[in-house]
Amino acid sequence: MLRENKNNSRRQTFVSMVILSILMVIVAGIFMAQSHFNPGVLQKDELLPEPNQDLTSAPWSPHASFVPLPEGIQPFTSTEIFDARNLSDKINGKAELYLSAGFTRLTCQRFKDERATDLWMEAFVYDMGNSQNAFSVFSAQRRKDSEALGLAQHAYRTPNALFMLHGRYYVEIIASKVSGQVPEPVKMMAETFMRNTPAEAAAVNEAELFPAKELVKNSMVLISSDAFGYDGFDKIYTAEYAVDGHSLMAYLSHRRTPVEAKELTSAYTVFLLAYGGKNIAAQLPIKDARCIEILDTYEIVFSHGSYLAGIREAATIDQAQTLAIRLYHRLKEGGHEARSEQ
Amino acid sequence: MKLDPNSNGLNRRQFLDRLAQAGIAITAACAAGFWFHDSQGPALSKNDHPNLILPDFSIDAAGHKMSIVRGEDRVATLRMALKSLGGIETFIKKGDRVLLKVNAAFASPAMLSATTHPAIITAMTQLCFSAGAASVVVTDNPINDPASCFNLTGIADAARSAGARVLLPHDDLFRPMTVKDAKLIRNWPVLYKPFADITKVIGMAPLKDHHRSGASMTMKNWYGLLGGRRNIFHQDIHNIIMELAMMVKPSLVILDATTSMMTNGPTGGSLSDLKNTNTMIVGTDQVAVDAFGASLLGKSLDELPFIGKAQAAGIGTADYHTLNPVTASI
Repeated sequence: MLRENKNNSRRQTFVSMVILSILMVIVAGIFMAQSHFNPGVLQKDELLPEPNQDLTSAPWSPHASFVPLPEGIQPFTSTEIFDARNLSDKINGKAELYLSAGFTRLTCQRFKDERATDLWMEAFVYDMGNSQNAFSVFSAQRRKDSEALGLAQHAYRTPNALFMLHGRYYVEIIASKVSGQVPEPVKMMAETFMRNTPAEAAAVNEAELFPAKELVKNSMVLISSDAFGYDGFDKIYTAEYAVDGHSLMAYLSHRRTPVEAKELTSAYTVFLLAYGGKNIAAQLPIKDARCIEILDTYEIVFSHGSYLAGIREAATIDQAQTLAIRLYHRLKEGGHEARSEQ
Repeated sequence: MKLDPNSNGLNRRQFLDRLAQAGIAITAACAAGFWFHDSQGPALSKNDHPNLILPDFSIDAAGHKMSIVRGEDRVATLRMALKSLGGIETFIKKGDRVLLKVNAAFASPAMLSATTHPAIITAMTQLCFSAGAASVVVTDNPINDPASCFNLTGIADAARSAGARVLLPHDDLFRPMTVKDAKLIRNWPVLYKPFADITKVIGMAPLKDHHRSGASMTMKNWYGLLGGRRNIFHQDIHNIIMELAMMVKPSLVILDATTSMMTNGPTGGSLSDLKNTNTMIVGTDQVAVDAFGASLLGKSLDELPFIGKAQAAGIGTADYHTLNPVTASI
């Protein structure tokens, strides 16, 4: 009897512990749910915006700058910092572009140039976590007809603004007007920021893997997620080509293993076929390459080693094949070196 | 079934005692849950009306009209567009209290075309007063630092210089609202109070590319009436735009496509994002106006599902040709 009681006690203790553990998990779940509240079911006061400054408030007061400033540039407003939770408060619908690319923090502030009383500029410093993420948002927004700047590998300016990549930071400095005075203060601010902000070089080795012939300058883009409408495609580098008056796109992506690259190639092919694509017989010197006609354009998809690659939006099958073969040869020649440098 | 009291060390009395205790514990837990359960949801404050809706500001006599005027001078094209629709007097009568819903979403200079251009705010305010309006109010809810947004865009000065009152989105201007048949705007804080004493509403939006919705035009402009953590609606952007268009029945909408943001919207940031499309669109059918705006952005209606959804909801027509829009050039 004594033995039975001991056994029962152990069993009861075990069951009790299990029940208590489950209750603790439920309590933890409730607390987590409370911390991720649904704004739609909260009290009204909690939903309302923070109290605002009065429009008739006092003139701008002196503020501290979040970065060292060149001579003649002074803070105009206080520093603002945004995280993933409230980034859209600052940039509204463009927040998704940054969030999908790994955004961690935005620091921004407005500055005035003492030499031009009516000129102010706003600096946006996006911390994207790493240089690849930063390149993604830099390349996705690259302005055409811009002027390249020598201060960084990836930097350009337009009549009123400067955009650049500095390590894991994507930086925008936007001036309030266009005049002869704008470019210099904006450039000075960028240079000062770079000097005072240590960052690793933002190397984008995939650039070397795209064939140079007929490549449209500065057309390379890194798509972080959902490339070409396919949710399985992430971290896809694309580049535009101009062939006989037609534009077409080449793309590539390094995957963790050759098997993953091959499987993703197959999955994307299935996706294209599901959306009306038709298999086209093509004689390509690329193992397992697939050629598909869709929406009156031609696509080629293939893998080589750990690289997934392909051609999109070709007007003719010849154009698609020619570029696919060039891309394939570049991957054979330089694919290994490109990854080993990273 | 008969329990063997020796099989697990429990006798019948112990078993019944434990059963009763467990029953009491479960009943107590259920009672506590029932006690804490709030079947009504968040309570309304004493100022809140449970069935708040915005009045219908559309003008029956004006019908469904639209005007498209081409030209570089946005004030001149705006004036001509209104004239072609019968003049400002068609929309504004003596004594009207007018609300101009502008886009002041960002604290960026007017030259970037991310916000409603100050020049047409001044012009529209003057036109309203010239038609006999008793008051003109200019408002929007930019969320982040509204004072800077209204100041640095030039909107505040433009409105005040013409005699309009600028209304910043203070806390007490919001009320929870539910739009009939809506799935998203339910008991959600809306910038309601500025509409309380208003007789005419005019939406004034710039034409912009938009990363999430494809385009920001007159229907998307109502997004600035939402309070709270409205960014969650970005996950269902086309439906929220449709519901906003269901919520606001304006007297008139103005889509300024004099300089349009073709890329990198809605913030832009560079003059190279802009294109001089030199067009002013004014109309009473916000769906039709947006459908035409889409063509200026080079986008098909398939790329902007909110237009088709708004048409399906009966808000207006995406086939703007059926309105026989008045067209003119300056």
